[in-house]
Amino acid sequence: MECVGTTMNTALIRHPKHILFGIICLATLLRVGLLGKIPVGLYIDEVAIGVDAVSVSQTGRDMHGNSALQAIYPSYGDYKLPVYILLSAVSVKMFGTNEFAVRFPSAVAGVGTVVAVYILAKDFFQRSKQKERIALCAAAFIAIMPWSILFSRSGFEGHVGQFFLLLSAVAAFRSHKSIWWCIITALFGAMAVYTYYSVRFVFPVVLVGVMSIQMTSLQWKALVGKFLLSIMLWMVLLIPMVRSPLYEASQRFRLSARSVLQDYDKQVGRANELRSEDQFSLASRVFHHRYLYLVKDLARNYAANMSLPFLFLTGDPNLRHGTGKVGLMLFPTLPIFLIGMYVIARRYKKEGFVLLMWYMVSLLPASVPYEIPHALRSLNALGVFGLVLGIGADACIHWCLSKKRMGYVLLVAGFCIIIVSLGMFMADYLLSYPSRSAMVWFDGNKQAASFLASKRGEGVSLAASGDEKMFLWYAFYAGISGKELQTIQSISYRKPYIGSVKFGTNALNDALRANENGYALGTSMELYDDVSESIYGASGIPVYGVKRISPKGAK
Amino acid sequence: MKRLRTKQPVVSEQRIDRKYWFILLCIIVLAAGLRLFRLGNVPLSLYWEEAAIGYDAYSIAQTGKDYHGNPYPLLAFPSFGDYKPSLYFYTVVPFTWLLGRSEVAVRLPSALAGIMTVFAVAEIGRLLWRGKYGLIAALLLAIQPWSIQVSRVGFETNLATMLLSFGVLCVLYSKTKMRWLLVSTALFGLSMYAYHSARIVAPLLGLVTVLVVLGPQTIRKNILLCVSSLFIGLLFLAPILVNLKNPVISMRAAETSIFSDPSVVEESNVLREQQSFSPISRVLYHRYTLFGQKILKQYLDNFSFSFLFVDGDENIRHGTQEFGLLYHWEAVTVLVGVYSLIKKKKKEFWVIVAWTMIAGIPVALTTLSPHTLRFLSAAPAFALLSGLGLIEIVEYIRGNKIVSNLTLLGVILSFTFSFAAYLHYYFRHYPIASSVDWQYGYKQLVTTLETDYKNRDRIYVTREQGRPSIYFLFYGSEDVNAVQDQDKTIAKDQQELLRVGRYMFGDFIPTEKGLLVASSPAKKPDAAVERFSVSLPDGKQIWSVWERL
Repeated sequence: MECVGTTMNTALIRHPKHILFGIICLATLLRVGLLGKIPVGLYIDEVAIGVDAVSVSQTGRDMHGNSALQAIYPSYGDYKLPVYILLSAVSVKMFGTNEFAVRFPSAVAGVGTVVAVYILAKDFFQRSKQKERIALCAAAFIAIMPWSILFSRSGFEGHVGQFFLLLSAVAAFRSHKSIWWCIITALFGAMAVYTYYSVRFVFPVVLVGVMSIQMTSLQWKALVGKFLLSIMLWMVLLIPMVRSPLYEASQRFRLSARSVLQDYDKQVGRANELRSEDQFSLASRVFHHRYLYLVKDLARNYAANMSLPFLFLTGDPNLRHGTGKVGLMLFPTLPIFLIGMYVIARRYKKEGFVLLMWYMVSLLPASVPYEIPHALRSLNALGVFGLVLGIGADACIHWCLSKKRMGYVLLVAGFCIIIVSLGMFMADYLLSYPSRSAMVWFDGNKQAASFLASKRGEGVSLAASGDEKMFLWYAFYAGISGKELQTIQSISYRKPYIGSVKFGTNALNDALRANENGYALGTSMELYDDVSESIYGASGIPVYGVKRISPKGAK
Repeated sequence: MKRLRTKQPVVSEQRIDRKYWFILLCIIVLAAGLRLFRLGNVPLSLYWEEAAIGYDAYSIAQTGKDYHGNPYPLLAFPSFGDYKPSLYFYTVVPFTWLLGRSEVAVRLPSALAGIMTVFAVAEIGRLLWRGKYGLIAALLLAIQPWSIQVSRVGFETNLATMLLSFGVLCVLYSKTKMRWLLVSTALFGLSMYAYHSARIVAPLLGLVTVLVVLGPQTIRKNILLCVSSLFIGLLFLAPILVNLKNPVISMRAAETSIFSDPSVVEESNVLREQQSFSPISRVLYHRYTLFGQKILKQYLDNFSFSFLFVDGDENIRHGTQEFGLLYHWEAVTVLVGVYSLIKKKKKEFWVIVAWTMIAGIPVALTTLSPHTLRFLSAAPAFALLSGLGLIEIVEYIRGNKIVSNLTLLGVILSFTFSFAAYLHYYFRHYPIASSVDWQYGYKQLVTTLETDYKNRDRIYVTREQGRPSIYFLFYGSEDVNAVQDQDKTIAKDQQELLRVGRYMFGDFIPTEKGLLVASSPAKKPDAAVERFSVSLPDGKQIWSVWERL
């Protein structure tokens, strides 16, 4: 046992690059293996990105015919940012039109996050003699973190956004060396914002934090100047987004969800109810002010995003953002995390304060809407968790090594427990999660699109409903070219038809009433249970029905 | 000069001592004020469990038997079939002699336990650190929503918490006089007869505290005393262990145990079936794996920010729902307290950590989490943590005068504002918001029927508001001996009497003419004549008493 413990520590100290390579390989395996098959289907945002990516890769324009270099893509009406789509366009060019290609940029960002956290840990804890060990531990924990693995395996922009945020922090740590690093910092910061909207709140805080860590009494003037340069350049780079004709609409769309900041009725209603019980006395105006209820709502949402069961046991209840059986981090890492927090509070007060601010501001986008807790919207905090776990693991290793035999036993036991826990998570993810989560991943839409594609050569009318945005899956899986898509007039950024296939409830009803040969595809309810054929999803569940339509009188 | 040097510290120590006791007295007076002011009226009325405790205590005081006719139950009172541990019932007995069957008599032991816990916390803080830590912790416990809420209701858990606190205190006293260890064991033992959760918490907490505070060397030196103490502990534990399979002990455990939840087994079966019962699925989704996950989740729920500092318990009888168990700002002081506790690296400080950790176990093993009452034994530990954190913050910023003054001002403002806001809400709005949950209206209903409708032979009362019989026993005039005599023959539903003298209780509305019926207004037939009604404080009618002519 002693021998194993010593070997582990020696390896950590003497061969960091080999260990890092091993961690990267493990991270890649966990993120890229079966990437196109699990999760079982493409979510609407992923397929929309895929359609735009195909169109951009073929024509340099999105599905509506706008330039690929636009600041905001209208997509199917949810106004997406350009970076992920452009990265997917490259990926589609490399791997073809498939699920793997759409998710590949996120998987790369996942592996990149491991490397970024490794570098960042060394920068953050540069005062430590064991910074190499801290950095390796941080990278290893990111590599096996369910939160990172799950979002690396789905095409969500938020995950790539946090990767660019980490890169901007890495660049900011080097900005005292040369002005070019300031420019790179601003560029990565802008890339992050052009990937995911909520990063704009986090980037300035991270930048100020990183600068404050480097600040010494001698350098402060130069650093402030560089900070101002970075932040101003970053703001200049964001001008195209703010001045985009779609910016106002995109913000309206984003703020349309019910949130703490807009829940006027609930907060004012509660305040007024209590005030009236007090006959609107002066005390009641203070004790029951509506802003106190707003702050309380916000605090409740923050608390939900910080709750230990969410972080270490159950994760996000939304099955697209978690498996429902694992927390954002593996449960055995909880003690390491707590030790990490303690060590940071004890030895790295300044760095700890920066990490705390980073974490708190990262939770803001996740805490304003009522949909809590939210693993996707709080993704900007992923790096923070890696750093805390890294320092916690380093403290544990240090303690174990100082205790000789007993310490080695504990070290190996801890290592084994984490590996078993990872194994249990992956076993559930590979075996049970696909069928458990099939519905939320729109399982069946690919099969429906393939069915429609197989019938389009028959020269009959085709109508599809089920999901009103089915045109996206059809365009993606039927291999519709970007050029063809651009020629079709959109209604509210949605294509009412592609070739002979019409989409939407009205189209379906028209097809059912029409006196011509064709197929109607929809849910069994839409077809009044009059189904001649069922379309099954990859999980084996019947999702859609098909009705063969013939002219009246024909047999 | 020499004389001065030797005398001065003694004088100043005495002064500090006097100052300490004076401030502690003030804090205890404050705690008493907060716990005793309008005790009978806020919460507005007795919950059915309180009424049952009150009537059982009255029955014991009058006849030496509970109202089911059991003479001096030792382990638990059957009550409504939930077999509550017996100690709280006996503490109510003297107050029933003094004050009769009243709300105050039922709640007074809990309120006094709350006040005494404040004293225990001050002393624990003083012995662990210094006097000021104890005083601040005591002050915080005196004003914390968690403690006030539970102290103003006849909850047995508060008595158990007081006994546990004094148990810990006596272990600390035993560092100087070992004989305190015997008292400590007796207190830990007694707490197991006050509340179910203490049957898990007391042995663990007692053991950990003794081991940490005294250490193996002291134990070895005083082995005889320690063995005697262990013997006392076993003496208290023996009746519980012997009766483990007796419904008196097992019934409650079976009802509330997490293992009684069939959903986990169902989920395990579904998940395994999805995997065609493969070997991996048998391990991965084994019921014990899933139970383990649930236990861990419930354990962690106790420490969630939302529960502790924002909203508290979902059950409005256990909290106001406007405040958490602690004040919002205590999120900071508790965290700093935990940090300081670990930083100090003295073994006694682990008593607090162990106390907090062990207190969470009963909630983890039972249904419903988080749960204010089952977790209550952690309240003194949280007060100590919060007090420690508060002092550490103030001392940390003492170096910088401006920052120090501003922080102090912030602390005082937050402290005063949240305390005032809590008191305002608790005494002004909480009674109205929670009146239904406290079964408001029964007292008014019974007293009116008892005074104005004496001549009626039979009165029918619906069970819509829950367990009416106990209120007719508590506020009515039925002879307790008669109630005990009828216990074997009268119809019951889970130990709840379905008839008390002329009152009958049921779920159906009778059609008999001339029969006086008490029901909700919605159940009153249009043709019936209403004799009187009872309304909630917000004006909503809760009871309608009517008859068909």
